[in-house]
Amino acid sequence: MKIQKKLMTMLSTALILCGSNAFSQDNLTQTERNEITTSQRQSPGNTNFVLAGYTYSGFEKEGDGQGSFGPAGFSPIFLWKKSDKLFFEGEMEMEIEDGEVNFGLEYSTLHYVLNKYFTVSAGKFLSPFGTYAERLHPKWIDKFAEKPLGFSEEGAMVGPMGEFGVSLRGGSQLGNAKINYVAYLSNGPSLITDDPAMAGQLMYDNLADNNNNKAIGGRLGFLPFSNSSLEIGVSGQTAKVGDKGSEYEHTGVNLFSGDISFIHKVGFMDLNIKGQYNQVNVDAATYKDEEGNNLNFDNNSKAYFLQLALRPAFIRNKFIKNIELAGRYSAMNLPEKSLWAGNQSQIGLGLNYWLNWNSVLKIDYMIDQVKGEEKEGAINVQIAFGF
Amino acid sequence: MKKLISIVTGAFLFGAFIIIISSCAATKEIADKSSTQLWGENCMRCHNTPPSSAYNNTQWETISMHMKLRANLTDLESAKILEFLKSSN
Ligand code: HEC
Repeated sequence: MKIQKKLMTMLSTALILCGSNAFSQDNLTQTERNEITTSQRQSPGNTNFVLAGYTYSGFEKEGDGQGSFGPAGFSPIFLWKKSDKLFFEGEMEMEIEDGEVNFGLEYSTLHYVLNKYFTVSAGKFLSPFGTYAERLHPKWIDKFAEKPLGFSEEGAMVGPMGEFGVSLRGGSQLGNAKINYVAYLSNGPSLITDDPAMAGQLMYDNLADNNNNKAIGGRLGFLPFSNSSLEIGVSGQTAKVGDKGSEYEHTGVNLFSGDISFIHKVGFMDLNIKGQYNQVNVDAATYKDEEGNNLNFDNNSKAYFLQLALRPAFIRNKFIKNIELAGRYSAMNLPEKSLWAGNQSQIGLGLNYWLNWNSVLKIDYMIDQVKGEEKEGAINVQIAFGF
Repeated sequence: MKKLISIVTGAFLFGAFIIIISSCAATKEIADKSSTQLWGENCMRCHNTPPSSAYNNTQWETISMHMKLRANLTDLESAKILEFLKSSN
């Protein structure tokens, strides 16, 4: 009983104290209150946080199909600069595609700046295999609504879009030229062996490793001109891809990629060229088809694209200067003996209208050609905002 | 064993590479570049150049670090560009 009384007194004292505190706060004059908010605004604190990301929505119609709204998505990006040395970037991915909602963790990377030349990073990161994944795929950057052939999770993928591991990266001046470099260790791709329809293909979502071997990879970029207008890059990755303990344990893969980026002012136009060539060579292995027959082949696949964009950025007329014309050729060659074989190419023509520096309306006409089949046209309309 | 040898060789080459790049200072032409010029040359390589008014100083601090890491910009150019963005927004 005594204890209860004591508690009650303590509680009421606390309430009175809180109340008087609130009361005294309320007694502040408007000027005093303004001063507090201004000083809060002026002192940003040491931990800087930015919420960035992008969102997009659209409409697509393939051949004689009925056409449908979508895909649409929203990808918030969290950036935390904890100090001049510590940095975190994380992106969540949410997309509605073909009537389904997909959630994903696009990247979640912790960085530690070692010195001027090197930063070490750990986590899930966009693959520095070429530049498409790391630098060009966000919808407000990509000139086209759809990814090039071989770069999209929707079809056969020729090369990784993400890695899970550790990396070392940086950039440096080399006289008037510049170089940049990334080396990494990651879980690496895994080989599909049990599903005949896909046997021999690689799966790149290396969230858990299927063997003891870690993939080793890297990219070296070279910018020969002092104005940084041209960058040429080469990337490679090598890994064992078979499941531990299986007959494919020693099956390995070598991946190679070359990329190019060139920007140049031509008269009143901005010219922007981007391209990437990916090659995948999996060691020869024997898989089984649906009837149990042996299928022996080495998965040698290729995918590439070359993209050109022109924008009359130096014209006075506000409407015309925001228009951009884009063209892209992309192709994918898959191993002949596999059950997912096929050569495919695509020509894309795009008309883009830039609403501001990171918001764009895209209207694309795509012509797809699967070898031995008729050409098929598709229309994609997409609006994308970066923020 | 083979793998170990290739890792050791790789590490050795990487070491040599670090020594070469760190001894390679920017030429006078590069060191003399203004921060505005560096902004104009670098921030449009992957996407349209964002105007400095798009973000406040605190946001630019964070975004600059993001871009330095994403684009592997050199320390000097990244610092100069940040200075430009903060002084002109
Ligand atoms: C090598 C390519 C590349 C270069 C060069 C580059 N950016 Fe970016 N930038 C990107 C990519 C890719 C994104 C989108 C990040 C994502 O979605 O993961 C981005 C995003 C941004 C954003 C949105 C906020 C954020 O951090 O995501 C801003 C602002 C930005 N960049 C400013 C700049 C500035 C300023 C420069 C010049 C110093 C620059 N960029 C140079 C590739 C580049």
